[in-house]
Amino acid sequence: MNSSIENTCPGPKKSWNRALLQGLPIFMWMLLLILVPLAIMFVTSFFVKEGVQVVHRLTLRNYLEFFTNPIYLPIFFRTIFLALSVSLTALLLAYPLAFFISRKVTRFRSQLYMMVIVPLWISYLVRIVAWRTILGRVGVLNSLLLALGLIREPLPFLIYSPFAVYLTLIHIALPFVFISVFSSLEKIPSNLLDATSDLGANSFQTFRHVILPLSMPGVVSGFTLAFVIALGDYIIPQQLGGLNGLMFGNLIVSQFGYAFNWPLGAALGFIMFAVAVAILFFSQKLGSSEGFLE
Amino acid sequence: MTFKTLVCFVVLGILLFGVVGIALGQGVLNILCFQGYTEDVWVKEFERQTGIKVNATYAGTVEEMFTKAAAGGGLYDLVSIDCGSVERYYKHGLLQPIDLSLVPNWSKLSKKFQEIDFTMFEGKPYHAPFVWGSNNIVYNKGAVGELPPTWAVLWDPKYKGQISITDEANNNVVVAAIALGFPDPYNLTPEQMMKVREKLLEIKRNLRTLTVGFDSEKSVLGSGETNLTLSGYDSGLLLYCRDELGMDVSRLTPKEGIYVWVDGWVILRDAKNVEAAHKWIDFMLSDFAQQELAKFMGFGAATPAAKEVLDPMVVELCYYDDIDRVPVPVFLMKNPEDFEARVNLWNEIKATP
Repeated sequence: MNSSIENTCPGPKKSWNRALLQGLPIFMWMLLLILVPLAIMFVTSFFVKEGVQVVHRLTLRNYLEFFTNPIYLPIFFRTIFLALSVSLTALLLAYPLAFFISRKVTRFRSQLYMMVIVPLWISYLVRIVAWRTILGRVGVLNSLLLALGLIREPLPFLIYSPFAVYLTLIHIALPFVFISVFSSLEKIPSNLLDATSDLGANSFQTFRHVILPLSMPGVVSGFTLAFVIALGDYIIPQQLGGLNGLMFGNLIVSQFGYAFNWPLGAALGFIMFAVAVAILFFSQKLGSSEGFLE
Repeated sequence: MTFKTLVCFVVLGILLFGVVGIALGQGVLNILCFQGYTEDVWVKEFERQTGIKVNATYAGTVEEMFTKAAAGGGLYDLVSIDCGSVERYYKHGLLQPIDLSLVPNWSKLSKKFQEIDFTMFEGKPYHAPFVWGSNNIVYNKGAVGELPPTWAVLWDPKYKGQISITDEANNNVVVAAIALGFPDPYNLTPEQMMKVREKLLEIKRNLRTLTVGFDSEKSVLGSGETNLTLSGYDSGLLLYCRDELGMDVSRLTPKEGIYVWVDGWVILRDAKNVEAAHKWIDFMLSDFAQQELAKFMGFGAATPAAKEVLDPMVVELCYYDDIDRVPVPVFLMKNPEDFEARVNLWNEIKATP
């Protein structure tokens, strides 16, 4: 945005001033709503709670707690594993769908696109309650399977289990992955595809060597979005995860909301934040290495 | 000066006068409470009787309430808190004692509430109860028959996979401690805490799931996901299952004792309108207010005046008309020895596969 302003304004000094002025609101917004809260949380994570008071004395105790208390690491790795499986599954489901809608469909294309996006209009909590109705003991799915004679007893693992968390998170993440992949597939110019067929490539070769590499940025950003959504969620595990659905987000919530140990909560939050940033950084590198078409 | 500016000045003057007038006025009572405690029906009646205007501010959580009350500045005269939190408020120097000579209706309180000693400091009362409730098992009698009156049913392998408890650390520690027969479930020794830990690890094997709030309790019991549900709102759950779903439900009154919370009013130290605060406390114990409150919430009444308006089933099974009728030991909620340790214990239990 700034570069375009510089180009249109005569004289280097004046344009710099204007760019600064126009950039200021955005900078202030970033500063006040993102950087300052993050800094406060980071500093708090080095404080310590004594009794009911947060003492402003710097210590690594909260971070040590994460590594030494046996409950944190296993739940942490379980959460990362679940977030990876969710984002991978969402990608495997969204890619063919996006490919189909963007490349193969000519009629009702935008309607199909909207159908995938529509769940985003429905409140997140309502969707959780809906899954409760689908997966429950007397829910839609169990009733259907019973009626078809495929099972004799309702399947108990459908709800209040890690499976329910996995399934619901995929449902939440899917539209985001779809949008990213779809828009990167849309950007591939059709003359490139014409060229591959002129050069004698079959459709699999075209996909393997042209379409897939060129859609990588969308794949990576979709995957990253899904990963971050799944990593931080704590409402779905709480509502549908039952006894063994506990995730890292729930542990953070319990420190803030129940134990009132904000420093420990902040430290746990920051560890998760660091993982998300690392993934983001890593995936950005991966996405850009294949080259963009702009 | 044009006509417009003149109008502006007049309007500003009126506004300023009004604001100062309200701030100085003795006829305003500022209340900080949970939603549901200042409904129009009884607030209007109080305003009619006393000419005092009521301003209510709602807090969403116990912690938000404490933060607002502790911020001071005389913004609030009265706060509604549970009996277990009184000590914390008192220790932070936030409270002033209640003058019982200004509360004639105090004598109407059920005996058990008049005798609460842990909300008294230096012989003076600081907490005026007006509503109570308890955490109990609501069960599907149609499915499991009449249950024996003991907490042990939660550990009975017969009901494996048919039970839910709340996802609240302190609640569960208290329930396990009462089930184990410990004399003070709010003040456990490290050895007792180890026993509670084992007991909670053991209950996990019997559970179908954990519940988060009333909606999730309704969902599990109502859909047959569970047959025994530990509920924070037993009367509401009973009536929902009976009236909306036509289920045959009942509530357990375990012989080991029940766990009871009591919400009451405290007067803040820097309250601006202490006299009006006493009038409100007295009014909330009047038969009218107790009946309206019981009608609205269906929780326990602090005086025996609400029996007629409560559902007969709630009176019979929950004793919400009069706590003195509860036939088993009553453990009134207190501040536990170490709340954080209880949260961490519960996290550990949940994390154990």
